[in-house]
Amino acid sequence: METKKSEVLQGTLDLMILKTLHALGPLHGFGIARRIEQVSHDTLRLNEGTVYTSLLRMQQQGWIKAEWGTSDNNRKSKFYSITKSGQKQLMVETENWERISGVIGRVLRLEEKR
Amino acid sequence: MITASKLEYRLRGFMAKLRGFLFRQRHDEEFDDELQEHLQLLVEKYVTQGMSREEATQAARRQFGNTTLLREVRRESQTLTSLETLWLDLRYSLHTLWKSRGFTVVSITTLALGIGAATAIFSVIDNVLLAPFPYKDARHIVFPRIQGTQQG
Repeated sequence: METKKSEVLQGTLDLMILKTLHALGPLHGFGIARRIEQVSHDTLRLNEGTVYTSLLRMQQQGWIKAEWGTSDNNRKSKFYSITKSGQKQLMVETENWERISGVIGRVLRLEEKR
Repeated sequence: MITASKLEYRLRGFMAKLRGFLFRQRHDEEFDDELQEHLQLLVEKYVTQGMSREEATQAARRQFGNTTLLREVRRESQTLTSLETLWLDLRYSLHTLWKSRGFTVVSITTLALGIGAATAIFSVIDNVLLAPFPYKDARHIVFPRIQGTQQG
């Protein structure tokens, strides 16, 4: 049985990752991908590699920072965590997202008037 | 969803590229390790879900996507691509010139003599034909001469 999967909207991946890091603290790329998969109940189609593109972009913007650490299974991996400016960005983007989805929601609920 | 300030966003991106270009902190191997690690973990996840190793490896690759493309994106986001290629071209040409020194000497001499001769000839022509007098607008200098005043 193949369930329908939606593509990740352009630009929303940054927001999802920021929120994940904000909620769960430092995570490595694999952890982030698992978390998004878990939250989306497998309804998102996500090439996990794109997580790294997003991480890279946000690192350059100073919204997240990376540090080497040891994961649960004692392997060295890179952990990403949200920065101060990242938290600010998260607030801005969250507000923005709510505004947009509110507008789209209202438009889609419009009753047909003839 | 980039709305905060497009200019600031771009500026930060540019600064990151400039830093990458100037200091060349690529950590390419680290990045490769990170990707390999991720793939490895995915394989293990699929194996515990009951796939064979081979199936799991394929599934992990599918799920992860194109790693070459990812490396390319990373590379481009960390350097000023145009300046980088310019620098490489420059180095390559200097290297080539150095390798065939005879040719280099001949061509530099030819260029030097050619440019020198052309400049010398032009200086002569300029002084003799084009601007023979050291005055402004020398070509408008006139020689007034009065004719036909003698009465017969």
